[in-house]
Amino acid sequence: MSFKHLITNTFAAAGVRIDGDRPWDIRVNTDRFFQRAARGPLGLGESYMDGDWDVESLDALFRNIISSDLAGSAISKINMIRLALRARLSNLQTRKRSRAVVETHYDLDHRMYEKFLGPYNQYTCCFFDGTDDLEEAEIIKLEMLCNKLEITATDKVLDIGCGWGGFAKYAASHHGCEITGITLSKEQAAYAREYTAGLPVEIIVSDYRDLSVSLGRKFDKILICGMIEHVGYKNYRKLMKIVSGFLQDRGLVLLHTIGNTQETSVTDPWIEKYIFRNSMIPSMRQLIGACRGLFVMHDWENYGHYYSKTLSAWQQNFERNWDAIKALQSKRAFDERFRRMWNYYLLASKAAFDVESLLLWQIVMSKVGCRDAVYGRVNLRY
Amino acid sequence: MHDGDLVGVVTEDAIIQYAFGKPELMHSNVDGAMQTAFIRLEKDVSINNLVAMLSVQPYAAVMDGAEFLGLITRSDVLNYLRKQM
Repeated sequence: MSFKHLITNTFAAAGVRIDGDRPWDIRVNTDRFFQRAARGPLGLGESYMDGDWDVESLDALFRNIISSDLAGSAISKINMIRLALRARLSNLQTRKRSRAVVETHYDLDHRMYEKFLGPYNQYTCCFFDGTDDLEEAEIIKLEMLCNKLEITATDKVLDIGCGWGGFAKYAASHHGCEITGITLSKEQAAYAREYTAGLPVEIIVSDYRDLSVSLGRKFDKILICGMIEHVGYKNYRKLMKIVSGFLQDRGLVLLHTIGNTQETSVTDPWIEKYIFRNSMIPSMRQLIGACRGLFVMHDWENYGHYYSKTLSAWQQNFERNWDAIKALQSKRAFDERFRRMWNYYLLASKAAFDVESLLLWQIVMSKVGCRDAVYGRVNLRY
Repeated sequence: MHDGDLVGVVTEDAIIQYAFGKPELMHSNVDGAMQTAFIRLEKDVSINNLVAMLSVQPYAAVMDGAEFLGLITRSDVLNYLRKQM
Protein backbone atom coordinates (compact mmCIF):
# COMPACT_ATOMS: atom_id res chain seq x y z
CA MET A 1 0.00 0.00 0.00
CA SER A 2 1.38 3.40 -0.92
CA PHE A 3 1.82 6.11 1.71
CA LYS A 4 -0.85 8.12 -0.08
CA HIS A 5 -3.30 5.26 0.18
CA LEU A 6 -2.46 4.61 3.82
CA ILE A 7 -2.82 8.24 4.88
CA THR A 8 -5.99 8.82 2.86
CA ASN A 9 -7.62 5.78 4.49
CA THR A 10 -6.38 6.64 7.96
CA PHE A 11 -7.74 10.18 7.82
CA ALA A 12 -11.00 8.96 6.23
CA ALA A 13 -11.56 6.92 9.39
CA ALA A 14 -11.39 10.20 11.32
CA GLY A 15 -13.87 11.83 8.93
CA VAL A 16 -11.16 13.92 7.24
CA ARG A 17 -10.87 14.03 3.44
CA ILE A 18 -7.61 14.70 1.63
CA ASP A 19 -8.19 17.75 -0.59
CA GLY A 20 -11.83 17.96 0.52
CA ASP A 21 -13.56 21.32 0.99
CA ARG A 22 -14.78 21.21 4.59
CA PRO A 23 -13.01 23.36 7.21
CA TRP A 24 -11.28 20.28 8.71
CA ASP A 25 -10.21 18.71 5.41
CA ILE A 26 -6.50 18.59 4.63
CA ARG A 27 -5.30 20.39 1.50
CA VAL A 28 -2.04 18.88 0.32
CA ASN A 29 0.54 21.22 -1.20
CA THR A 30 3.23 18.64 -1.91
CA ASP A 31 3.13 14.86 -2.10
CA ARG A 32 5.96 14.38 0.41
CA PHE A 33 3.22 15.11 3.01
CA PHE A 34 2.00 11.49 2.74
CA GLN A 35 5.32 9.93 3.59
CA ARG A 36 5.98 12.36 6.45
CA ALA A 37 2.47 12.02 7.93
CA ALA A 38 2.91 8.24 7.95
CA ARG A 39 5.61 8.72 10.61
CA GLY A 40 2.86 9.80 13.05
CA PRO A 41 2.24 12.99 15.03
CA LEU A 42 5.83 14.22 14.77
CA GLY A 43 5.90 13.89 10.97
CA LEU A 44 2.44 15.38 10.61
CA GLY A 45 3.40 18.44 12.66
CA GLU A 46 6.76 18.94 10.96
CA SER A 47 5.21 18.71 7.53
CA TYR A 48 2.67 21.36 8.57
CA MET A 49 5.50 23.64 9.76
CA ASP A 50 7.17 23.22 6.38
CA GLY A 51 4.00 24.08 4.50
CA ASP A 52 3.41 20.62 2.99
CA TRP A 53 -0.29 20.95 3.80
CA ASP A 54 -2.89 23.44 4.97
CA VAL A 55 -6.29 23.31 6.56
CA GLU A 56 -8.91 26.01 7.01
CA SER A 57 -9.42 25.19 10.69
CA LEU A 58 -6.60 23.45 12.56
CA ASP A 59 -8.67 23.05 15.71
CA ALA A 60 -11.57 21.45 13.79
CA LEU A 61 -9.12 19.00 12.21
CA PHE A 62 -7.67 18.10 15.61
CA ARG A 63 -11.10 17.67 17.17
CA ASN A 64 -11.67 14.99 14.51
CA ILE A 65 -8.27 13.41 14.99
CA ILE A 66 -8.44 13.25 18.79
CA SER A 67 -12.04 12.10 19.10
CA SER A 68 -11.59 9.40 16.46
CA ASP A 69 -8.59 8.11 18.41
CA LEU A 70 -6.40 8.47 15.34
CA ALA A 71 -3.86 9.69 17.86
CA GLY A 72 -3.88 6.17 19.28
CA SER A 73 -3.61 4.45 15.90
CA ALA A 74 -0.80 2.14 14.83
CA ILE A 75 1.05 5.00 13.13
CA SER A 76 1.51 7.01 16.28
CA LYS A 77 1.81 4.07 18.64
CA ILE A 78 5.35 3.30 17.56
CA ASN A 79 6.39 6.82 18.47
CA MET A 80 4.55 6.79 21.78
CA ILE A 81 5.98 3.42 22.80
CA ARG A 82 9.47 4.67 22.10
CA LEU A 83 8.87 7.76 24.24
CA ALA A 84 7.19 5.79 27.01
CA LEU A 85 10.14 3.42 27.21
CA ARG A 86 12.46 6.35 27.50
CA ALA A 87 10.33 7.84 30.31
CA ARG A 88 10.19 4.52 32.13
CA LEU A 89 13.91 3.82 31.90
CA SER A 90 15.20 7.24 32.83
CA ASN A 91 14.12 10.32 34.74
CA LEU A 92 13.29 12.83 32.00
CA GLN A 93 12.96 15.63 34.49
CA THR A 94 16.32 15.64 36.20
CA ARG A 95 17.66 19.05 37.23
CA LYS A 96 19.62 19.31 34.01
CA ARG A 97 16.81 18.16 31.74
CA SER A 98 14.29 20.41 33.51
CA ARG A 99 16.34 23.36 32.36
CA ALA A 100 15.95 22.25 28.72
CA VAL A 101 12.31 23.34 28.50
CA VAL A 102 13.19 26.58 30.21
CA GLU A 103 15.90 27.33 27.70
CA THR A 104 13.90 26.36 24.62
CA HIS A 105 10.49 27.69 25.67
CA TYR A 106 10.39 30.05 28.63
CA ASP A 107 13.59 31.88 27.79
CA LEU A 108 12.13 32.75 24.38
CA ASP A 109 12.03 36.50 23.95
CA HIS A 110 9.48 37.82 26.41
CA ARG A 111 8.36 40.43 23.89
CA MET A 112 6.97 37.58 21.78
CA TYR A 113 4.81 36.36 24.69
CA GLU A 114 3.69 39.91 25.39
CA LYS A 115 2.25 40.05 21.90
CA PHE A 116 -0.31 37.35 22.57
CA LEU A 117 -0.79 37.04 26.35
CA GLY A 118 -2.90 39.42 28.46
CA PRO A 119 -1.42 42.24 30.57
CA TYR A 120 -0.74 39.98 33.59
CA ASN A 121 1.26 37.56 31.38
CA GLN A 122 -0.83 34.62 32.54
CA TYR A 123 0.50 31.69 30.51
CA THR A 124 -2.07 29.27 31.95
CA CYS A 125 -5.83 28.99 31.68
CA CYS A 126 -7.76 32.25 32.15
CA PHE A 127 -11.35 32.25 33.37
CA PHE A 128 -13.77 33.52 30.74
CA ASP A 129 -16.62 33.69 33.23
CA GLY A 130 -19.20 36.00 31.67
CA THR A 131 -16.58 37.83 29.59
CA ASP A 132 -14.82 37.49 26.23
CA ASP A 133 -12.04 39.86 27.24
CA LEU A 134 -8.64 38.31 27.97
CA GLU A 135 -7.63 40.93 30.55
CA GLU A 136 -10.85 40.42 32.52
CA ALA A 137 -10.46 36.65 32.24
CA GLU A 138 -6.92 36.94 33.64
CA ILE A 139 -8.14 38.98 36.60
CA ILE A 140 -11.01 36.58 37.35
CA LYS A 141 -8.51 33.70 37.29
CA LEU A 142 -6.04 35.54 39.55
CA GLU A 143 -8.76 36.55 42.00
CA MET A 144 -10.05 32.98 41.98
CA LEU A 145 -6.57 31.72 42.95
CA CYS A 146 -6.40 34.24 45.84
CA ASN A 147 -9.93 33.42 46.90
CA LYS A 148 -9.42 29.66 46.90
CA LEU A 149 -6.21 30.09 48.88
CA GLU A 150 -8.07 32.44 51.30
CA ILE A 151 -5.16 34.86 51.03
CA THR A 152 -5.08 37.56 53.71
CA ALA A 153 -2.79 40.53 54.26
CA THR A 154 -0.79 38.68 56.91
CA ASP A 155 -0.04 35.65 54.69
CA LYS A 156 3.35 34.60 53.43
CA VAL A 157 2.79 32.95 50.06
CA LEU A 158 5.08 30.69 48.01
CA ASP A 159 4.47 30.64 44.24
CA ILE A 160 6.32 27.66 42.72
CA GLY A 161 6.65 28.31 38.98
CA CYS A 162 5.97 32.04 39.17
CA GLY A 163 6.52 32.80 35.47
CA TRP A 164 6.71 36.53 34.77
CA GLY A 165 5.31 37.42 38.20
CA GLY A 166 1.68 38.08 37.23
CA PHE A 167 0.19 36.29 40.25
CA ALA A 168 2.74 37.82 42.61
CA LYS A 169 1.89 41.30 41.40
CA TYR A 170 -1.87 40.72 41.57
CA ALA A 171 -1.89 39.03 44.98
CA ALA A 172 0.53 41.48 46.60
CA SER A 173 -1.25 44.57 45.31
CA HIS A 174 -4.86 43.43 45.85
CA HIS A 175 -4.49 41.27 48.95
CA GLY A 176 -1.47 42.81 50.62
CA CYS A 177 0.37 39.51 51.22
CA GLU A 178 4.10 38.77 50.96
CA ILE A 179 5.10 36.54 48.06
CA THR A 180 8.13 34.48 47.22
CA GLY A 181 8.17 33.39 43.58
CA ILE A 182 10.32 30.55 42.23
CA THR A 183 11.27 30.08 38.60
CA LEU A 184 13.96 28.18 36.73
CA SER A 185 14.16 30.83 34.02
CA LYS A 186 16.64 33.66 34.57
CA GLU A 187 14.88 35.70 31.90
CA GLN A 188 11.52 35.31 33.63
CA ALA A 189 13.06 36.18 36.99
CA ALA A 190 14.63 39.37 35.67
CA TYR A 191 11.33 40.43 34.15
CA ALA A 192 9.31 39.48 37.26
CA ARG A 193 11.62 41.45 39.59
CA GLU A 194 11.11 44.59 37.58
CA TYR A 195 7.40 43.95 37.12
CA THR A 196 6.78 43.59 40.87
CA ALA A 197 9.18 46.33 42.00
CA GLY A 198 7.98 48.19 45.09
CA LEU A 199 5.77 45.31 46.25
CA PRO A 200 6.59 42.75 48.98
CA VAL A 201 7.69 40.23 46.35
CA GLU A 202 10.91 38.22 46.21
CA ILE A 203 11.83 36.23 43.08
CA ILE A 204 14.28 33.33 43.33
CA VAL A 205 15.84 31.34 40.49
CA SER A 206 15.88 27.75 41.72
CA ASP A 207 14.91 24.18 40.94
CA TYR A 208 12.10 23.10 43.32
CA ARG A 209 14.42 20.32 44.52
CA ASP A 210 16.92 22.89 45.78
CA LEU A 211 14.40 25.04 47.64
CA SER A 212 15.36 23.79 51.09
CA VAL A 213 18.74 25.36 50.49
CA SER A 214 17.37 28.68 49.21
CA LEU A 215 14.49 29.22 51.66
CA GLY A 216 14.62 27.72 55.12
CA ARG A 217 11.21 29.06 56.24
CA LYS A 218 7.54 28.09 56.06
CA PHE A 219 4.59 29.58 54.19
CA ASP A 220 0.90 30.05 54.93
CA LYS A 221 -0.18 29.42 51.35
CA ILE A 222 1.51 27.65 48.43
CA LEU A 223 0.51 27.98 44.79
CA ILE A 224 1.68 25.52 42.12
CA CYS A 225 0.22 26.94 38.92
CA GLY A 226 1.04 25.55 35.47
CA MET A 227 4.25 24.01 36.83
CA ILE A 228 3.63 20.34 37.64
CA GLU A 229 3.18 19.70 33.89
CA HIS A 230 6.99 19.94 33.71
CA VAL A 231 7.79 17.82 36.76
CA GLY A 232 7.27 14.28 35.40
CA TYR A 233 5.36 11.49 37.17
CA LYS A 234 8.49 10.08 38.78
CA ASN A 235 8.99 13.34 40.67
CA TYR A 236 5.40 14.16 41.75
CA ARG A 237 5.85 12.55 45.13
CA LYS A 238 9.14 14.38 45.67
CA LEU A 239 7.50 17.71 44.81
CA MET A 240 4.54 17.14 47.12
CA LYS A 241 6.85 16.13 50.00
CA ILE A 242 8.82 19.33 49.50
CA VAL A 243 5.60 21.37 49.40
CA SER A 244 4.38 19.68 52.58
CA GLY A 245 7.66 20.57 54.27
CA PHE A 246 7.27 24.25 53.40
CA LEU A 247 3.62 24.55 54.40
CA GLN A 248 2.48 25.82 57.80
CA ASP A 249 0.28 23.30 59.57
CA ARG A 250 -2.87 25.34 59.02
CA GLY A 251 -1.92 26.42 55.51
CA LEU A 252 -3.44 25.67 52.12
CA VAL A 253 -2.00 24.47 48.80
CA LEU A 254 -3.59 25.17 45.44
CA LEU A 255 -2.51 23.00 42.53
CA HIS A 256 -3.58 24.43 39.16
CA THR A 257 -2.69 22.06 36.33
CA ILE A 258 -3.74 20.64 33.01
CA GLY A 259 -5.25 17.22 33.62
CA ASN A 260 -5.07 14.19 31.39
CA THR A 261 -8.10 11.94 30.97
CA GLN A 262 -5.71 9.17 29.95
CA GLU A 263 -2.75 8.04 31.98
CA THR A 264 0.60 8.40 30.24
CA SER A 265 4.21 8.92 31.14
CA VAL A 266 5.04 11.09 28.12
CA THR A 267 3.67 13.82 25.91
CA ASP A 268 2.85 13.98 22.20
CA PRO A 269 6.14 13.58 20.26
CA TRP A 270 5.68 16.80 18.28
CA ILE A 271 4.92 18.83 21.44
CA GLU A 272 7.90 17.11 23.08
CA LYS A 273 10.29 18.16 20.33
CA TYR A 274 9.08 21.66 19.51
CA ILE A 275 7.16 23.10 22.47
CA PHE A 276 7.51 21.53 25.91
CA ARG A 277 10.61 19.37 26.30
CA ASN A 278 10.31 16.70 28.99
CA SER A 279 6.75 17.58 29.89
CA MET A 280 3.76 15.35 30.67
CA ILE A 281 0.20 15.92 31.79
CA PRO A 282 -0.81 14.16 35.03
CA SER A 283 -3.82 11.91 35.51
CA MET A 284 -6.01 11.97 38.63
CA ARG A 285 -4.48 8.70 39.83
CA GLN A 286 -0.93 9.98 39.49
CA LEU A 287 -1.73 13.12 41.49
CA ILE A 288 -3.67 11.29 44.19
CA GLY A 289 -0.79 8.83 44.53
CA ALA A 290 1.65 11.71 44.98
CA CYS A 291 -0.48 13.34 47.71
CA ARG A 292 -1.46 10.21 49.63
CA GLY A 293 -0.77 10.55 53.34
CA LEU A 294 0.50 14.11 52.91
CA PHE A 295 -2.55 16.17 51.97
CA VAL A 296 -6.31 16.20 52.43
CA MET A 297 -8.15 17.27 49.29
CA HIS A 298 -10.91 19.79 49.89
CA ASP A 299 -11.88 20.85 46.42
CA TRP A 300 -11.18 19.54 42.90
CA GLU A 301 -12.64 21.35 39.92
CA ASN A 302 -12.37 21.21 36.15
CA TYR A 303 -12.27 24.37 34.05
CA GLY A 304 -11.13 22.84 30.73
CA HIS A 305 -13.74 24.77 28.72
CA TYR A 306 -12.06 28.01 29.81
CA TYR A 307 -8.73 26.77 28.46
CA SER A 308 -10.23 26.37 25.01
CA LYS A 309 -11.33 30.03 25.11
CA THR A 310 -7.92 31.06 26.47
CA LEU A 311 -6.04 29.33 23.65
CA SER A 312 -8.41 30.82 21.13
CA ALA A 313 -7.77 34.34 22.51
CA TRP A 314 -3.97 33.79 22.46
CA GLN A 315 -4.04 32.47 18.91
CA GLN A 316 -6.11 35.42 17.69
CA ASN A 317 -3.73 37.86 19.39
CA PHE A 318 -0.74 36.01 17.94
CA GLU A 319 -2.10 36.30 14.39
CA ARG A 320 -3.25 39.89 14.87
CA ASN A 321 0.23 40.88 16.08
CA TRP A 322 2.23 38.67 13.74
CA ASP A 323 3.80 41.57 11.85
CA ALA A 324 5.12 42.99 15.12
CA ILE A 325 6.42 39.57 16.25
CA LYS A 326 8.15 38.99 12.91
CA ALA A 327 9.90 42.33 13.28
CA LEU A 328 11.37 41.50 16.73
CA GLN A 329 15.16 41.41 16.72
CA SER A 330 15.86 38.34 18.81
CA LYS A 331 18.17 35.36 19.34
CA ARG A 332 15.55 33.22 17.66
CA ALA A 333 14.16 34.05 14.21
CA PHE A 334 10.40 34.54 14.23
CA ASP A 335 9.95 33.34 10.67
CA GLU A 336 7.05 31.75 8.80
CA ARG A 337 7.99 28.29 10.13
CA PHE A 338 7.77 29.61 13.71
CA ARG A 339 4.39 31.16 12.92
CA ARG A 340 3.01 27.87 11.60
CA MET A 341 4.52 25.98 14.55
CA TRP A 342 2.94 28.32 17.10
CA ASN A 343 -0.50 28.23 15.45
CA TYR A 344 -0.31 24.45 15.28
CA TYR A 345 0.61 24.24 18.97
CA LEU A 346 -2.13 26.62 20.17
CA LEU A 347 -4.92 25.19 18.02
CA ALA A 348 -4.11 21.49 18.47
CA SER A 349 -4.08 22.15 22.25
CA LYS A 350 -7.40 23.99 21.98
CA ALA A 351 -8.94 20.97 20.22
CA ALA A 352 -7.78 18.67 23.03
CA PHE A 353 -9.66 20.85 25.55
CA ASP A 354 -12.69 21.11 23.23
CA VAL A 355 -13.17 17.33 23.17
CA GLU A 356 -12.23 17.02 26.88
CA SER A 357 -9.19 14.89 26.19
CA LEU A 358 -7.38 17.46 28.36
CA LEU A 359 -8.91 19.19 31.38
CA LEU A 360 -7.87 22.04 33.67
CA TRP A 361 -7.88 21.19 37.34
CA GLN A 362 -7.73 23.34 40.43
CA ILE A 363 -7.16 21.28 43.55
CA VAL A 364 -7.19 22.76 47.06
CA MET A 365 -5.46 20.79 49.80
CA SER A 366 -4.28 21.09 53.39
CA LYS A 367 -1.90 18.99 55.43
CA VAL A 368 -3.15 15.71 56.82
CA GLY A 369 -3.96 15.85 60.51
CA CYS A 370 -4.46 19.62 60.71
CA ARG A 371 -8.20 19.47 61.08
CA ASP A 372 -8.66 23.00 62.30
CA ALA A 373 -7.69 24.22 58.81
CA VAL A 374 -11.36 24.57 57.87
CA TYR A 375 -11.93 25.15 54.18
CA GLY A 376 -14.95 26.64 52.44
CA ARG A 377 -15.40 29.76 54.55
CA VAL A 378 -14.68 32.25 51.79
CA ASN A 379 -17.69 32.96 49.65
CA LEU A 380 -16.78 31.37 46.32
CA ARG A 381 -18.90 32.09 43.31
CA TYR A 382 -18.62 29.64 40.44
CA MET B 1 -9.86 48.45 61.89
CA HIS B 2 -6.64 48.15 63.87
CA ASP B 3 -4.36 51.17 64.33
CA GLY B 4 -5.97 52.78 61.30
CA ASP B 5 -5.50 49.71 59.09
CA LEU B 6 -8.33 47.69 57.65
CA VAL B 7 -7.95 44.16 59.02
CA GLY B 8 -11.27 42.54 58.13
CA VAL B 9 -14.71 42.96 56.57
CA VAL B 10 -18.03 41.94 58.13
CA THR B 11 -20.83 41.13 55.69
CA GLU B 12 -24.35 39.79 56.24
CA ASP B 13 -23.18 36.49 54.81
CA ALA B 14 -20.23 36.35 57.23
CA ILE B 15 -22.52 36.94 60.20
CA ILE B 16 -24.96 34.27 59.04
CA GLN B 17 -22.20 31.73 58.55
CA TYR B 18 -20.66 32.62 61.90
CA ALA B 19 -23.73 32.72 64.10
CA PHE B 20 -26.32 30.45 62.46
CA GLY B 21 -27.38 27.83 64.97
CA LYS B 22 -25.14 29.38 67.64
CA PRO B 23 -27.18 32.32 69.02
CA GLU B 24 -24.71 32.89 71.86
CA LEU B 25 -22.18 34.09 69.24
CA MET B 26 -24.41 37.11 68.49
CA HIS B 27 -22.81 38.71 71.59
CA SER B 28 -19.21 38.06 70.56
CA ASN B 29 -16.74 40.53 69.05
CA VAL B 30 -16.78 41.33 65.34
CA ASP B 31 -13.32 39.93 64.76
CA GLY B 32 -14.74 36.42 65.16
CA ALA B 33 -17.08 36.86 62.20
CA MET B 34 -15.01 39.09 59.96
CA GLN B 35 -13.46 37.99 56.69
CA THR B 36 -9.75 38.64 56.58
CA ALA B 37 -9.44 37.48 52.95
CA PHE B 38 -10.78 40.33 50.84
CA ILE B 39 -9.82 42.29 47.75
CA ARG B 40 -8.08 45.64 48.08
CA LEU B 41 -7.86 47.97 45.15
CA GLU B 42 -6.44 51.38 44.51
CA LYS B 43 -9.04 54.06 43.90
CA ASP B 44 -7.89 54.53 40.28
CA VAL B 45 -8.43 50.89 39.19
CA SER B 46 -10.63 50.68 36.07
CA ILE B 47 -14.25 49.64 36.36
CA ASN B 48 -13.51 46.67 34.06
CA ASN B 49 -10.94 45.32 36.50
CA LEU B 50 -13.31 45.92 39.40
CA VAL B 51 -16.14 44.03 37.68
CA ALA B 52 -13.80 41.08 36.96
CA MET B 53 -12.74 40.91 40.64
CA LEU B 54 -16.32 41.22 41.91
CA SER B 55 -17.28 38.24 39.77
CA VAL B 56 -15.30 36.11 42.25
CA GLN B 57 -15.90 37.89 45.56
CA PRO B 58 -18.90 40.23 45.99
CA TYR B 59 -17.08 43.16 47.64
CA ALA B 60 -13.75 44.96 47.61
CA ALA B 61 -12.02 47.53 49.82
CA VAL B 62 -11.10 50.72 48.00
CA MET B 63 -7.78 52.16 49.20
CA ASP B 64 -5.74 55.29 48.76
CA GLY B 65 -2.31 53.84 49.52
CA ALA B 66 -2.66 52.55 53.08
CA GLU B 67 -5.80 54.58 53.78
CA PHE B 68 -9.13 52.73 53.59
CA LEU B 69 -11.69 54.80 51.67
CA GLY B 70 -14.71 52.49 51.66
CA LEU B 71 -16.21 49.20 50.67
CA ILE B 72 -17.59 48.71 47.17
CA THR B 73 -20.12 45.97 46.42
CA ARG B 74 -21.82 44.47 43.39
CA SER B 75 -24.95 46.55 44.03
CA ASP B 76 -22.85 49.75 44.00
CA VAL B 77 -21.61 48.82 40.53
CA LEU B 78 -25.13 47.94 39.41
CA ASN B 79 -26.44 51.32 40.61
CA TYR B 80 -23.55 53.07 38.89
CA LEU B 81 -24.31 51.26 35.62
CA ARG B 82 -28.01 52.07 35.97
CA LYS B 83 -27.24 55.77 36.38
CA GLN B 84 -25.16 55.68 33.19
CA MET B 85 -28.28 54.73 31.17
